[in-house]
Amino acid sequence: MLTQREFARLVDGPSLDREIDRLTKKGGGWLQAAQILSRRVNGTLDWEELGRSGSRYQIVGSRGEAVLFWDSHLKNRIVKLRGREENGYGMAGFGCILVRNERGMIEYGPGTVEQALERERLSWEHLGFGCVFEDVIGDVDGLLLAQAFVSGIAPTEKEIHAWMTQHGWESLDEAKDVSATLRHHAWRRGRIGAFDANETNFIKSDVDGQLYPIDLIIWTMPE
Amino acid sequence: MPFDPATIQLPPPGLKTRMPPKNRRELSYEEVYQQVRRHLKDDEGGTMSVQMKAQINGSHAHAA
Repeated sequence: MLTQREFARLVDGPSLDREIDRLTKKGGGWLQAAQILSRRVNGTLDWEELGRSGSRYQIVGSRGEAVLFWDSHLKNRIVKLRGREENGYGMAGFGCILVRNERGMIEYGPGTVEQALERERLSWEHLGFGCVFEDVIGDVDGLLLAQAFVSGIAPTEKEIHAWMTQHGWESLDEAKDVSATLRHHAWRRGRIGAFDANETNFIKSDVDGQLYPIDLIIWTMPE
Repeated sequence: MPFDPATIQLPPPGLKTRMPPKNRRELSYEEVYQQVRRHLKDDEGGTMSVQMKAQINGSHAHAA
């Protein structure tokens, strides 16, 4: 386990400041994105102790579920920082899972740390690729996952569709019990669902031209 | 039951994995940063990626 202070010292503070500044200057909705990033960092580590330029973890992005860092020591992996709902991680919690709402529709729900790790286990089991556990921060205020960095580009929707079909997944595009906003990128194979299969969650490797799912929501289909 | 990191094994042992190939060369932080930004479409004419919108919508929902 890392304390909030220990983790902060591993994070490149100037790169974080630059990213927040960049998002703030873009204005509009980006200002909120900057605020969310600030809240995520503030709730998960000790801001006063942020490391200097060149520290191990350098921010590369902040997306739906996680703050993403480049591991500048190992140079071949992305480290994902996830955290509590109240600390800027919103409805994802430590990572979205699939739930059925009061109307019986399948939608995303906030996952706990244990559920986030179960989701990774399912990802390895059903996709052959996922994140490894890196560490927890503080009193389970944050979770660090690490994933091999795949250099490449986003595949097309058509390529993703072909890849999913080839691997035995069935589209839920017309499933009436899946929330309409999720259906288009939702798949199932037996009792397992693979959601959020959009172009930002796959990489087409520039080495072998193959697709690698990097952030799908793999979870047991809720009863 | 309290959270016990010592019990975590990812990838699970004995599983057939599908690992990506090694990248052709070692990338710099700046190269990775630009690649991730392009991938998340955070630079396309100032439009916001689906992920970023979800993040903001999630924040609103939480605040509500």
